[in-house]
Amino acid sequence: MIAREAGSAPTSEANTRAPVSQSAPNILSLDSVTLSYGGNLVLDRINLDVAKGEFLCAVGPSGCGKTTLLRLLAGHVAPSSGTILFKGAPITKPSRDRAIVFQDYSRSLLPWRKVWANVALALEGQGFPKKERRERSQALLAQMNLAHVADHYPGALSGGMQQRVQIARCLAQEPSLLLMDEPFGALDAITRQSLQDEVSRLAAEKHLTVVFITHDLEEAIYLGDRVVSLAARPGRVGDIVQVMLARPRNQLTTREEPLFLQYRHRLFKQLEGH
Amino acid sequence: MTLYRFAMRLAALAFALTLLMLWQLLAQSNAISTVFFPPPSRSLQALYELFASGRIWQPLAATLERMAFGWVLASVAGLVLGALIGSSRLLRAYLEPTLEFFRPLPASAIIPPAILILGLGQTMAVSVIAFAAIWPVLLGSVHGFKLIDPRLTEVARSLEMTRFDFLKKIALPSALPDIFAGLRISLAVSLILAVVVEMQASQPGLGQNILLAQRTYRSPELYAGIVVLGLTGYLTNSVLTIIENRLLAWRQAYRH
Amino acid sequence: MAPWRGLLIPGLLLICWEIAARATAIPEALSRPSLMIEAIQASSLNGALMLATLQTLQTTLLGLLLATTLGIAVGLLLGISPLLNAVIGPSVEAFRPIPAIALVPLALLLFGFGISLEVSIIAFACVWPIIVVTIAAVQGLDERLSQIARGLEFSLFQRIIKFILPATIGRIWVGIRIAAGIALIVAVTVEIVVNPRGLGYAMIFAQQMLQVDLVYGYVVWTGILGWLLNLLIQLIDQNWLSRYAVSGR
Repeated sequence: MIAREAGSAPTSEANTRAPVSQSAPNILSLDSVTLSYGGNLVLDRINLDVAKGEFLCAVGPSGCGKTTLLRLLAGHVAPSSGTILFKGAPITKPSRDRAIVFQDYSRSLLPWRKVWANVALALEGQGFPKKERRERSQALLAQMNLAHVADHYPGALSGGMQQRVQIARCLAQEPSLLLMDEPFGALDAITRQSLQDEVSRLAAEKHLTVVFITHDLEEAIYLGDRVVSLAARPGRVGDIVQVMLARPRNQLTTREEPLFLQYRHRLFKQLEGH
Repeated sequence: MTLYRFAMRLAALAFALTLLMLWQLLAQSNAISTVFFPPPSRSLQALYELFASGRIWQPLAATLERMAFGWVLASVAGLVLGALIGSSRLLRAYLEPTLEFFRPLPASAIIPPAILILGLGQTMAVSVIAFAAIWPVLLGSVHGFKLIDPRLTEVARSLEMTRFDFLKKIALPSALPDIFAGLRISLAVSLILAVVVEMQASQPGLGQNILLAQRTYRSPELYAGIVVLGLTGYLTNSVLTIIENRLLAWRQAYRH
Repeated sequence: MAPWRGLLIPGLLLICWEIAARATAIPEALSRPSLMIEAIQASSLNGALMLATLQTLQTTLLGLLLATTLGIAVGLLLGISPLLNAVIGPSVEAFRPIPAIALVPLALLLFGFGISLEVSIIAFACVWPIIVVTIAAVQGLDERLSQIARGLEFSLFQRIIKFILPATIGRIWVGIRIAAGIALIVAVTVEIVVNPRGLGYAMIFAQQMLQVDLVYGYVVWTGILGWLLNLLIQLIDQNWLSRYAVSGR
C-alpha cells in the first residue's frame, strides 16, 4: 500500500513492502485532515493511509502536532475538516477497538487497583465472569513477564513496569489498532530498549496495527515498517520512508546496518530542515 | 523498636507522670486551689467510679447515639450531593458560591432557629448535628470528585465505559482520600455539636454531665468527664482511621 | 466568570420563601426574609447589633492572638528540638482530642462568665492547627540554613529571629488562616451555650423571647460576618503575605 503525501518529497524506496501482503486493506485512511485550535493551525491537510498489520512510526519535533494526530486517531478529538476512516467508517468517538497508550503511565493506571485488576479493567463490561477476567488478565501478564507483580499496586512498580502494565491493559482490549504516544519518553535508555523489543514482539505475535509516535528518530526507524516525518507549525507530513530492514530486529546489529544509517541520515536532514 | 525510640517513649511517659505528680503535690499541700485543680488522684477516682458504678454508660450512649445518627446522616447526604455537584461543571458553577458562603458559618448558630422550629428534643439535636457535620463531607466530596485526573477520564472514554461505571470504578475511588478527610472532620464536628446541644438544651449526655458537675462544684467529676470526652473523640477517630487505612491500603505503595 | 450564576439559586430560594410565607403556607416559626431584614435593621439602629458584633469580634481576635503566640512558641520549641518533641510532645498531644467545648465548664469554674472564659476556649481550639503547621514548617527547613546560622555563630534566639521565623512564616500563616476560621465559630458557640455576651447570646436571648424574626436575622448576619472575615483573610493572603512568603517551603 502506498502512502499519499502532501508536499513534494517522494518516497525513494521501492513501493513494495517486506512484511505485509500487498493486498492487505487500509485500516486507517486520513484524507486532508486539518485541525485548528483557538485560531492556530495545528495540523494541515494530513493525508495518510495505514495498512492492516503495519507498524507505522511518526517522528517530529515538539509542536508538530503528533500527539494531536494520535488523539484524532483515538477519537478523543475531532478534525476541523477532512475525514478519518477506520475500517471504512468515520471516527466519531473513542472506541475499544483503538487502544491508546499514554506517555504518562503513572496517571493512566488506577492506583487503587492491583496490577491484575488494572488489566482486568479492559475486560469489564464485556460479559466475562469475574473468574475469567482474572484468568485472562494473569495470562496476558504472564505473556509480558509481569506475572510476578500481578498482586502489587502500581505505585510499587518501576516506571518501565508501569508502562508495560498499561500496554498490557491496552492489549487486553484486543484492539485492531494500537496507538502509542511517546510511550517510552519518560524511561531510561536501557528500559527503553527492552520495551522497544517487547512491543515489536507483541505486535508481530498478535498481528497488531500500530501507530507509534516518538521524537526519537532511531527508535522510529528501529521499530517501524514505515516512518512518517512530520514538520512543525503547522503540522504536516514531510517525508515518508519505507523501512526495508529485516525482522526480527536487533538492538545492536540492526542499528549498525548501512541501511539504518541511511534512513537516519535522510530523516535527520528532513527534521533539521523543519 | 530501637533502643533510642524505646528510651524516648519512656522519657515521655516519665515527663507526663512527673507533671501529674507535681500537680498532686501542689494540690495536696493546698498550694493551688483544690476546687479548681483537684489532685489527679481524686479525678482518677471519680473516673473509676463513673465506670465501676455504671453511671457512665447511659450518658455515653446518649451522646454517641446522637453523634452517630447525625454523622451518618450527614455523611451519606454529603457524599451523594458531593458526588453529584463535584462531577458536574454546571452544578458547580451555580452552587459553589453558595457552598463557600456556608463554609465559615458557625454551625451552632443554627441551634436557636432549630429550637424554634423543632423544639428541644432528639430530632432537633440530630438535625443540628447533621447540619453542622454535612459541610466538611460535602466540601471534601466536591473537591475529590472535581479533581479526577483527566487522563483517567480519557482512559474511561477509550474503554467506552458507561457513566455509572465511571463513577463507581474511577471517580469514587479517586475521590476517596478527600472524602475521608472530610469524614474525619465531620466526626469531630459531630462530637462537638452533640456536646453543645446537650449543654444548651439540657439533654442527657456527657456534655450535660460536665456542666452539672461544674454547677455543683464537683470538679473531680468535671475533670473525669473531660477525660471521657477526650477519649471518645480519640477512639472514634481511631476507628475511622483504621477503616480508612483498610480502604486506602494502596496508598502505602506510593510511600517510597 | 459570571457571578450571577452563583447567586441565582439562593436568590430564587429566598424569593420562594418570601412568597410562601406571605401566603401563610409555612409555619410562623420559619419567618421570612423581609421580616428578618426588618428585625436586623431595628437591631442595628438601637445599637444592639453593633455591640454584639463588636463583643464577638473582640473575643475572636484576642483568642486568635493568644493561640498564635502560644502556638508558634510551642511549635518552635518542639520543632527545633527533636528531643523536646519526643519527651514533651506526647503530653501536649494528649490534649488535642479534647473538644474545646468540653472545657467550657472548666473555664466557667475558673473564670466565671465574661471575656476570659471565651478567649481561653477559643485559644485552646485554635492553638492546635498553629502548633501542627509550625512544627511541620520548622522540621521541613533545609538543613543548609541551620548550618549557615551555626557557622556564623548565632545564638538560638538570633537564629529564630533571623532564619527560622522568616523561612517558616509562609507555612505558619496557612495554619493561622485555618485557626481564624475556627475562632469565630468557637466564639459564637461559647456565646450560645453559656456566655452572656456577643452575637451567640443575642441569638439565644431572642429565641427565648420568641422573637423569631430577630433570631433568623442574627443567624444570617453571623453568616455574613463569617463570610466577610473569610474574604478579608483571602485578601490579606493574596495581596500581602503570600508574596512575602517566597520559598520557606
